[in-house]
Amino acid sequence: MLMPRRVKFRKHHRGQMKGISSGGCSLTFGEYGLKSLEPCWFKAKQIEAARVAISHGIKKGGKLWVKIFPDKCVTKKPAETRMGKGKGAPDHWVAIVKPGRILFELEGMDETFARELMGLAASKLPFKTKFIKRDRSMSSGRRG
Amino acid sequence: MEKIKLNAEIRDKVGSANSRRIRRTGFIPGVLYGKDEQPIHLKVSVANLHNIISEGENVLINLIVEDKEKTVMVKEVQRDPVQENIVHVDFYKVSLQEKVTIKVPIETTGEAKGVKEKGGVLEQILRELEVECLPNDIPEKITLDVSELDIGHSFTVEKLKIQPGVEVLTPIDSTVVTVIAPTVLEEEKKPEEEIAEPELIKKVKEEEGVEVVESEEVKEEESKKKIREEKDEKK
Repeated sequence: MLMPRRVKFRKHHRGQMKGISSGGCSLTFGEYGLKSLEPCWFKAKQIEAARVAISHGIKKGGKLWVKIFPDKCVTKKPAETRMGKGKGAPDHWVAIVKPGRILFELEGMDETFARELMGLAASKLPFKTKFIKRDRSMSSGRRG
Repeated sequence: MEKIKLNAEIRDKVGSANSRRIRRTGFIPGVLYGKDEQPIHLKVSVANLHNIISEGENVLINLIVEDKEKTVMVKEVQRDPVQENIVHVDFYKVSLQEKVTIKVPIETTGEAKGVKEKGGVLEQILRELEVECLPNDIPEKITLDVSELDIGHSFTVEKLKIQPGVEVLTPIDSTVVTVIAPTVLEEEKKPEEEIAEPELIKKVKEEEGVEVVESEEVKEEESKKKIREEKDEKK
């Protein structure tokens, strides 16, 4: 499962998930993508489940990019423990996903097959997503 | 190159709140600027702008502002990250005698040999080519025939057929397309019983010394915790 190799601090604050994604909102590598429509803590386990779902279906050929990384540590106190006595031990890792963020990108297949694969991945996720396709008229940014 | 007409109205009120009001009325706020040109804040109809952008962004537009025609190009389109609606548009006034720097889309044609026969994956690395040319010479797109491409082979910018009068600014050794070998699924490893914690980044100063201090601190903390727990149990 994905997790950082080295960190500066063992435990993190909870933080906020306000607003919409300011970066990673457009397709960079592939032809098709899966975009989040809701904010969420995307667990490393869920990322792995979605990745496996796509890569099992991709057998016919194609390339997958995972555009998010779980770099936030979530701690948990053991069961039947009284409150207090400090913050719990690190339990799992999450990626903070805001609306508009591209999660996965695909290339090397036709649209119907890409939609099918992204559908498989989307069913593993705890938030709403939508399938997007690279389109000349849809691109944003400076033109030179 | 054909020119498309687009009507624009000048907007006096600027700022996010006023722009939001403009969007509600079916218009998109924009700005017009250029060389030796004072920026003008304006608004254009959503439907008309969509028609123009759907034809490609590298089109010359005859922008009609207060009964005056100006030759412009779309410089930047800002979109909402979630709904993907156009939020703002920048128009750049161009002179037909001066060269402009622009990005032209690269399109591939045909099915690569490595994909058709060997099951490889065609990966397009460069999707836009930066070129310099006169506004009337801007190519709509640049096509590249990839039917001879085998696994492990790639085409660079050098291979692209560029029309005369167009200067390529992208380095000629940049890869445009490549065919990669099909991915082989690795056997899934059994999940480890205990997930190791990531290593902590120590302070740069006297790494070893800090480590020793930290380990002593940890020991102290642990002993304090034990004492506290024992006290609680007694209570």
